[in-house]
Amino acid sequence: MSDEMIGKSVKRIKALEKVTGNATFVHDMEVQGMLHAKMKLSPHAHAKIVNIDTSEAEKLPGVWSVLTGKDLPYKVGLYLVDKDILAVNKVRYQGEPVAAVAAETEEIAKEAISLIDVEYEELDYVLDVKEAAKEDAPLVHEDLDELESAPVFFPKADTNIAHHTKIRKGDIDKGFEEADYIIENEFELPMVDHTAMETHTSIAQWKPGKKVQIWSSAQSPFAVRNLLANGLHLNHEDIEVKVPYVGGGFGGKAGIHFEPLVTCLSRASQGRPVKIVMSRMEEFNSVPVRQGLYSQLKTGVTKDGKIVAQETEFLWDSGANADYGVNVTRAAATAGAGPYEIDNVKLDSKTVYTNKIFGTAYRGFGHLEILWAVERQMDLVAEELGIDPYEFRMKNALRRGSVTITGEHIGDSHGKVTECLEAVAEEIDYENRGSDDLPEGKKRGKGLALLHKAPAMPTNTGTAAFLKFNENGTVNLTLSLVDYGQGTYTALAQIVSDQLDIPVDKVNVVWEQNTETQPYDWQTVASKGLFMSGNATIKACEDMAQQLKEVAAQPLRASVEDLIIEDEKVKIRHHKDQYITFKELAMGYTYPNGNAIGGPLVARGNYIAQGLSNIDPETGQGHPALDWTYGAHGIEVIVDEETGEFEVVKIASAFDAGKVINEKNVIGQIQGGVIQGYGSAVMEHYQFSEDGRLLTNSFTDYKVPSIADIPELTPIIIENAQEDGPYGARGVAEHPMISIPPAVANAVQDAIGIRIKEMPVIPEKIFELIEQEK
Amino acid sequence: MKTINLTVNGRNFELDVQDNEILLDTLRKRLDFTGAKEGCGEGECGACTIIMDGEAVTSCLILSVEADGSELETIEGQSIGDDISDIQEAFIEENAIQCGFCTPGMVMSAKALLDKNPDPTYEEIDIALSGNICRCTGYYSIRDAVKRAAEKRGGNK
Amino acid sequence: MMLSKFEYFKPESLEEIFELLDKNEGEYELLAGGTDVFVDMKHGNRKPDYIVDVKGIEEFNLIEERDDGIFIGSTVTCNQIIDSELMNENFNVLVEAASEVAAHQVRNRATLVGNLCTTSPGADMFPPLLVLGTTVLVESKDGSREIPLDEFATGVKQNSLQEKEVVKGLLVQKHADDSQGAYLKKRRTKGPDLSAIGVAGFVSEKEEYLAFALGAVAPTPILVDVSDIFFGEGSFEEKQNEIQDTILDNISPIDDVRSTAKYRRKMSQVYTRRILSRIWKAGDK
Repeated sequence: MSDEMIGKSVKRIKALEKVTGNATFVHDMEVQGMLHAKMKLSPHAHAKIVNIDTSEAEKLPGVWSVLTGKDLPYKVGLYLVDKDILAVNKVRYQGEPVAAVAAETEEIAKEAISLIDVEYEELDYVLDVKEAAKEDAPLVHEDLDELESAPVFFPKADTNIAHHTKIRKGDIDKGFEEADYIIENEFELPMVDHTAMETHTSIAQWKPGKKVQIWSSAQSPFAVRNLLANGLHLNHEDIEVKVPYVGGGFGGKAGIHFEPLVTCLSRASQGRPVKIVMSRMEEFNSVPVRQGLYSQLKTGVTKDGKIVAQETEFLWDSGANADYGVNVTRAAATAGAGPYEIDNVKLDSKTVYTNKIFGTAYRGFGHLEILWAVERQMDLVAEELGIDPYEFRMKNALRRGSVTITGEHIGDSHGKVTECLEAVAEEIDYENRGSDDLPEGKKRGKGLALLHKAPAMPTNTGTAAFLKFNENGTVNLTLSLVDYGQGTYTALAQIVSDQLDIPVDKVNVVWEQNTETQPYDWQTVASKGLFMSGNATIKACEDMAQQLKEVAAQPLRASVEDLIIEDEKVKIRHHKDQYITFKELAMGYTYPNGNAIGGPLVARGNYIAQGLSNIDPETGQGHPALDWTYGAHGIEVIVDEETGEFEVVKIASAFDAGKVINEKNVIGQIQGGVIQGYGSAVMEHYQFSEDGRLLTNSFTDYKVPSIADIPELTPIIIENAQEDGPYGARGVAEHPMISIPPAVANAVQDAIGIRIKEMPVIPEKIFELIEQEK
Repeated sequence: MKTINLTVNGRNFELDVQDNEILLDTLRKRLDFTGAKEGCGEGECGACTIIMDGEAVTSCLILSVEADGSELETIEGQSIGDDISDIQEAFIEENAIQCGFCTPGMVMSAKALLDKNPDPTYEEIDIALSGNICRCTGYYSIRDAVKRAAEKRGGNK
Repeated sequence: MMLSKFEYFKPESLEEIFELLDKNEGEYELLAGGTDVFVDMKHGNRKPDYIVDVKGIEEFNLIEERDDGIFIGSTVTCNQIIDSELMNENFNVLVEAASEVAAHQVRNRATLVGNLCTTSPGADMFPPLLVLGTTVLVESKDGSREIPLDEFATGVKQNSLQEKEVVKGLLVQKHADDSQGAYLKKRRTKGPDLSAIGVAGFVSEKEEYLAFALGAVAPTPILVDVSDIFFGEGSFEEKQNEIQDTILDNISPIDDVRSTAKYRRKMSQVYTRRILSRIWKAGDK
């Protein structure tokens, strides 16, 4: 086995299909006999459904079925089962679907929707998360105590609190007593959208025997199958979920969305396949988002800069349903003090319902949100202390021997956040922060921010991989991890190539997922793909190598221990001129006289997270983290001190990736993540009217970065090996996005001294603060 | 209802279209050129970009009847079998593709640019491509791909 | 997204347009680039029974220097403005504004006149055409009329065109060879964006003319002619301050999803100053 494949920037798998327009997304798919679905959406943030009259819609020629909430007595939910497929009794956000039709053409479906008459009685609504968390707030889910919930989540009856995670380390009161300074601040950030270029789209066909076939633009085919089975009381083995190419996900397609609806529409349409495609407006309005967050941080420090206590409250604006929100609340809490060693921590992280579109998984899974607060607080505290933000971070950063807020010990296999910080500070020449070279009125600022994240996943998360030979000696690798642009499949091909010493273009990673034929993967989320599927793939290769040797041993008249794998052959270690090729073994070995041994070679590998434990519900102590990826950003800005206009001139981003398998793909993740973070930082935000209608429901007013926006970016990869990762690798997928916003705001503060605490960082806010300072 | 003629990638199609039929839909649903995508339907994301009579346009905002008699170029016309264009090669070499959804529109915008200006500056690349949203790559590799394609065409700026 | 049903016509002459408008019943839209009309229709804000595509009328696709001004036909696109030598030589403020409209693909279709006829408060083409001095040339079955551009907009997305009138083009005033103009626009992204505030400025010492026009700070774009102030008495600073105050008096910005009233007021001042320092060389004159 040579290591030249590992670290090499092998060309991305399926690039040819994508660049020729040949790649088929569910967006492009048509199935014979297919009907088109459309939804009727609520215009109100919170209202009772008094009556729905679908009679005119049902009569329209070409309409096959019309459904409302009362036709669908099911509830769906990943953790807290609180979601109706179509609103039942009341609507909880503007944009919630209250009825759906399946018709022969999109035009007919659209007309049918316009013929559905809904009578509402408006209710008191709550839009602000702080208001919603109060005891007397209008309740989004009055029946909270009756809802089914996974055992690690704790909804609070008669409130809008869907879950509450507590972290208690040390003694917070004692900690504050030790502090020389106590600094308190509040921070906020709004909901944002994933804005994958392919909107959510699914096709379902209901088949005889209560079987379902689904094609979906989804990140997690097995999650779709599982949640559909649970929600609609079907058998897992009767549901087939297929995923072709996926046009982006970023967490927005991690769970289940419209698959139950199209399944029910198909069932109501005599088993005709039904397709639903979100328009971009529906994508903004009715498809879940990233939670908003209100944070309160109270930090106690000694005068020489040691953080001795931190008290934190996170209120997650999760909108009308819990979805992934409760898990974001939990996972982000376990990282909630940032990559710092703090002896005394009291942290309360709460999922709060509001009458808005709900939040789901989003790249970073709560970590960009909490680190906005944490990394801004670091600079604000440093300012009070008169200590440089770099020094302050260095002093408190996690190192070998540190203990995290959940009681995890930092050891040899952890990455080094201090190295990331050093690297970016050097790259942006952090020590030199003058503005003398700039024209009058312009000030330069440099800001730093650290990040960390571990996969947020159940302690028993597992994955598997199959490997098989083709007749010509090439191999197929199949798994249910989805490659929707991250490039994981290319890295896995490189791993197989290295493990079996076979050219990488002879490794075929089967692109489309199918729950019927491919082995299980929990979900394509959490930056765990390469780590876990990589390990499973290595095990599958080891299994294959063993089988190859076992068959080859016979004709080579050697014992298995004498054999090695080299150059697509099984060779006798000490007589390498004696060998049998993979091709000769692939379908079984045939002796010259016709005797045959072995058989078509199929191998398997699996991997389950090792040694993870649930956190204690009262103290948050436990070991939930598979691996931690650390990183840092250094950002240089130039600010106009009169107007608040600013330019991000340069970004340096460093990550401790453990080991790079495919450098270009890691850089691709860094570049893409940084720019997505940049969008959150300086331009993306959901804005609602006073009565809870989404105003930013198109690209006209929901702005995302264009090619013209990108600042100069230097990606830096650091490699301190993760012992249990494949070749020492960790995930670097969500991480590049995290902590970009506070780095920008820290740089702006460095430039002109103003203290932004709300995202996004926009000139209007900077200007407002400049005026206030005057 | 009107009968129109569209030339797509050099091939002529005569078809009956509704007056309100959108060119993007005709291409995707009736002629099976599914490379161009609907990302927003409002001309804001560029995923539907094709070349019409030599100009890059967002086909989601054009009626098929408006395109009667026009020469259209789509992503499908950029390769013949496994022979791909210089731009497509450059995109692969520079790893300027991740999920692939924006790629057809991006390549067509790049082609429209390079056909007129074979040696663009980075600023000119930005102007030509700022109407194409990519959420995956961060655009750095896409910029490099267009530059690389220009080099392949003999440019040197 | 789909469009509602309508009948489509593509006449080849002005006369044919009027015949169609006469003969057909119901609501209609005149179609040039389609980049506003179709978006509105997809949102259900417009539902025409028929559409008259004016791109078949050759005389509409013209940029031509005439004795009384420069004629820009109603189907001339933003990119045609940007690529036009005549425009670049004489009206760089118009080229600058055209370059700020949407994205390249949209600029290949979107027309100047279309931008004016949609009459958004923040329409990018309005301010430069206002400061240049523009007349809208209107045709109808009953003959021709001219509307000075500063009388064209009557409210948010409302203009003084009557039923069955067609804009043939614009006549833009010619100016002395010392004239300079500039357009600045506040954007949320460097990519395609509507303006949160757009300011055009134009000066010619020979004509003793200085004017600014602002978009997205009132229900309609606003023209502020400050020639008297600028070519009157006082130091450059004093005159600049008076100009800024005058502009403030003429605008009424609001808070909306794109920006705040306060910031728009601030940037109206700042852009005015920046444009002035760009288009007016040297200090006191």
